[in-house]
Amino acid sequence: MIVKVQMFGAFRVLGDQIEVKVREGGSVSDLRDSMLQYAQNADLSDLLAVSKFASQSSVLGEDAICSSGEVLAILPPVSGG
Amino acid sequence: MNTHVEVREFDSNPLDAAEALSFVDAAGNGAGSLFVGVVRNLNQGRKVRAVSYDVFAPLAEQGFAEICSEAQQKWGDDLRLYVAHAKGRLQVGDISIVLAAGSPHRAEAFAACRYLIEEIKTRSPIWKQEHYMDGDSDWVKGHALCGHD
Repeated sequence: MIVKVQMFGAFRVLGDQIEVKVREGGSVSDLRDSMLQYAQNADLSDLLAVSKFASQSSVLGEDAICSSGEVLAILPPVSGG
Repeated sequence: MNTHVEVREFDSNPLDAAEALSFVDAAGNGAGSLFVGVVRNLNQGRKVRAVSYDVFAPLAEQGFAEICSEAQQKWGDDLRLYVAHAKGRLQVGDISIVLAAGSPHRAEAFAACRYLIEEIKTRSPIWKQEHYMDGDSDWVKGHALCGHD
């Protein structure tokens, strides 16, 4: 299945949004694994490891199940204020 | 409503400290505290000319509301709170965040305002990219978010 991921912060170098192939019924942990190649290509592997994924309303745990066509967001460490 | 939370496009409408203080004012309030965050011209020895703020707005605004609710649980439901964070490219001296807390007494107003900024800095999905005088740009290393594991 395809999961859309909105890019924020340093991940913006990959574009505003990317589409990532994840196994059916896959979790956020699977999504993270699937994103590794994108991250490696942009030298963002270390940042991926410390980033979280979120829906439009909450930060997700690693076991949260992804849905086909869902739009999630990747949240690297934050620096607001 | 006794809280106002907002992510604001800086280009169209810069943040306004007077607006924040006006919102938290009330007849029963004897205190209003204000925090204003401003883009400074130096960070870790590098001369900064501008900063771009990237924001995941829906989650940020929801988080601001949750933090305000926590402050009201700690220091009183009668607290009036204002939170506005800029989004977009700001120059040195521009305001990036405005917070205000209004309450009957100063202790609660000071404490709530301090709580808001400390929690927002570590919990809100906001990212700062600094643009330096030498033409380089870099995303500021931040605080890793806590998940729901």
